[in-house]
Amino acid sequence: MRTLFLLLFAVLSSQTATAQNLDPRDLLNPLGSSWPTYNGDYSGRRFSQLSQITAANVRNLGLIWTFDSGNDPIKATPLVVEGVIYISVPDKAWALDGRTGRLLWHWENKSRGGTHIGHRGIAMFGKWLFLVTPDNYLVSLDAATGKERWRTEIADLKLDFFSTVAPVIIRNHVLVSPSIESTDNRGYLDSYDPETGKLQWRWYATPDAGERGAETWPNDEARSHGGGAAWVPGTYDPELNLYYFGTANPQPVMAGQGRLGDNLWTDCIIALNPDSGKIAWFYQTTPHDTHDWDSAETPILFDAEFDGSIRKLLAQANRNGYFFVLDRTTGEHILTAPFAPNNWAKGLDAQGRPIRDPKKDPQPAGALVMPSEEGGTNWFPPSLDPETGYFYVRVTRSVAVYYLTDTSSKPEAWGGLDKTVQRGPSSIAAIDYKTGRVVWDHPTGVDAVSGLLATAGRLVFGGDGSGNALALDPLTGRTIWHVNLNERMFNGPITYELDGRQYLLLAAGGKLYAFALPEH
Amino acid sequence: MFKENRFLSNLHASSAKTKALRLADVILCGLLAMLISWPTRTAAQEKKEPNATAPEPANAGAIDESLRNIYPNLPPDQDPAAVARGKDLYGGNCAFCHGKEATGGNSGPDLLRSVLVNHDEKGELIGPVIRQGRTSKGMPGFNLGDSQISDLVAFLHQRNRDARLRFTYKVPSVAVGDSVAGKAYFDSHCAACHAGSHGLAGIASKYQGDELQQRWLDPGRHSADVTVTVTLFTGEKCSGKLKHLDEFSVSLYDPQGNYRSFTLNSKAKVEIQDPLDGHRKLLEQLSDPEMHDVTTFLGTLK
Repeated sequence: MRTLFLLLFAVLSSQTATAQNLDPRDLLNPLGSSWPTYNGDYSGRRFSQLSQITAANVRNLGLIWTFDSGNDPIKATPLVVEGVIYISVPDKAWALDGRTGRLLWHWENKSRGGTHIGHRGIAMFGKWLFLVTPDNYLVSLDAATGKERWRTEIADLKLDFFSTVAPVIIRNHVLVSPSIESTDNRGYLDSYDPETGKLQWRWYATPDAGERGAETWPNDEARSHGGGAAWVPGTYDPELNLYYFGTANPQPVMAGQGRLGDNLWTDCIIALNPDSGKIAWFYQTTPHDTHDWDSAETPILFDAEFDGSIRKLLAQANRNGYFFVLDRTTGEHILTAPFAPNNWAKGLDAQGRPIRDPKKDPQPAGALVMPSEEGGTNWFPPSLDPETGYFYVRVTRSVAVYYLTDTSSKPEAWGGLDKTVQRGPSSIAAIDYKTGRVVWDHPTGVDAVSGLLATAGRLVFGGDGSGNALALDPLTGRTIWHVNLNERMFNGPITYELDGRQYLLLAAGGKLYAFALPEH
Repeated sequence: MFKENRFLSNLHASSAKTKALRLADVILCGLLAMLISWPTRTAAQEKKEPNATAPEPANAGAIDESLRNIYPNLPPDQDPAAVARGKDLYGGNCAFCHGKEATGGNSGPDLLRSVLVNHDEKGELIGPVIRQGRTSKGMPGFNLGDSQISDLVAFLHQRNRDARLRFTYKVPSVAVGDSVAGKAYFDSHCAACHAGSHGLAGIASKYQGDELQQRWLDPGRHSADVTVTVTLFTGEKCSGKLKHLDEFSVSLYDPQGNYRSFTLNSKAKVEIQDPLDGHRKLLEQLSDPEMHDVTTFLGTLK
């Protein structure tokens, strides 16, 4: 008996010494056996080198454990660091054993309110976790215990700001940004000190008076309430020291007559220096947006050949229905191609930006527009497989009638609305980055919303609209494996390795499911 | 590489050590479970009080829970009589500077975007500004009584509420087309299906405005069943009302009302007949003037 106690004590000590820890320098490495950030690594590719689960053996996958978080659908991407999983829904977070799904701790926010539409996930720095709450706190937790260290308010709840984003850690910067519900506010991105929670810098999504870009607004009032919230975590190139992210729609959302002009830097892909908070370059994907397109979708970073030379590229499948490829060093435009049916643009301008058709702006009697406000795609994480050169994205085909309801010269909030007249169908599509051409398109029924994961096992994982988790052939889109989980997947699936065993971790509805191959 | 990776590669070097450590992890979990008191709230308990600390609006009964979740500071619906009185007072005293709609004017700021107005609940912030003015910004004080201030506050909060709640927005008239052209379009594109018992006589009495436009563009799934015929590899056929179809299975109710489901494989054939296909095809071709013409024509079928 005495021996056993000593043994237990020894195990406990060694475990304490190796408590979960994530050095921000480790984030510079390619995605390995863990999944330490929202996108796995800084590139945003969601491509894993793990190759134990392959097209040949994926049919042998077995369910290892499940975890039920409650009724809220899990839209967050889990983190996996040193064998522990961190997962969240609005106002709640859990730590789980990656081998068993066993609960380690649970944290809950006493909410003051705010839109509870979704939560994208958690970030880790050292022994600390960071997450935002719908009522606009950035909260830091002790990763070992789930105990709160500090919280800092990042936005004014009474101005309709709310928060869903997964923080991004770059060195000693915690990057977060609130979302805008309907009140006309100016969006921004903040950087906080991971130790103290003190604000390091704030970058506003519309220019200051007199700054370059201010001329794309008719007046200071429109500019300083012009929207542009950055509500999806971005990506980072350590060599260029640039953080890439997208900004959302201008405010008021659908009535543009009070903000004539391009409305920079709304609906832009932004490259920002994470130390200074200064903009390096921008590319606007929808000048003067009147359909709530945003440009928030993940900008994926990769180095690949284009017209004979290897270039540092950035690709984004945008909610407005167009696929963009840019040079991420300079922001130079390389390619624009439609990937989802749309009729709101008349063509492309010299910089490859879609040219808005004013007839398809919201109209008092209605304008029939493809896609609906839901977009050709949305925040669902895409994936890029460097082996196939394909960009995998969730596509939705929809039609809506867009109405302009506020015809005054100074509209407020939305100023209009859209009524969907065709929902879905959705699909998972593979886009060739060199041409923008859709190489294959795998139908997934109406209302499929999952993110995607590509692996070196030559598989693409995602979900359909009927609660099926899918593994597809990355070259052809053919289904290789499926399992019906009876609820839709909302987040991006991930994969990790523990004890030499590769796990596939999916969320369907409010439950997590971990799969792996049988042990010998 | 992460520390974890190095740790794991060490483990791979010795399978015996791997087994020992896994056992240790199991023991550790059990020990921790004994030492730490886990949160024991169930999902049902959580559901009862999702926002126990959310602020109580003055008129809680008028706002449903979901609205308060989205707009924690959404002003409650105000007394319409107070709003009307407040609107008159606003027009006489405030509109000259703050604009007719309270969205700002030449010399006064937009009151719907105002931080102060958005932070106000019952006039505790707005009232003093009205009374004392903001002389540094050129706003004089107004000598108004408590009830007048209260009416002005009601007007501002109602304006704010209406601007924020998108689903309360009213669509102006959609009958802006040419009903003769709309009838011609209907005759050539719709009449083949919508004749006799499928005619649309009286539809304008049932639906008006944008709802009428919405209904004819998208009649909704409930308006027509999809029928499906499944042909099995044996040649057997089964038809009925479609219940579900995805890549892997199809299910239906046969004419006797029996539920049937089938696993799909390459040998099974599925044929779908959707009476709403015509509507979907229309959406791909329809121009906005044609849409308005048809809506205007349908609006005459009272």
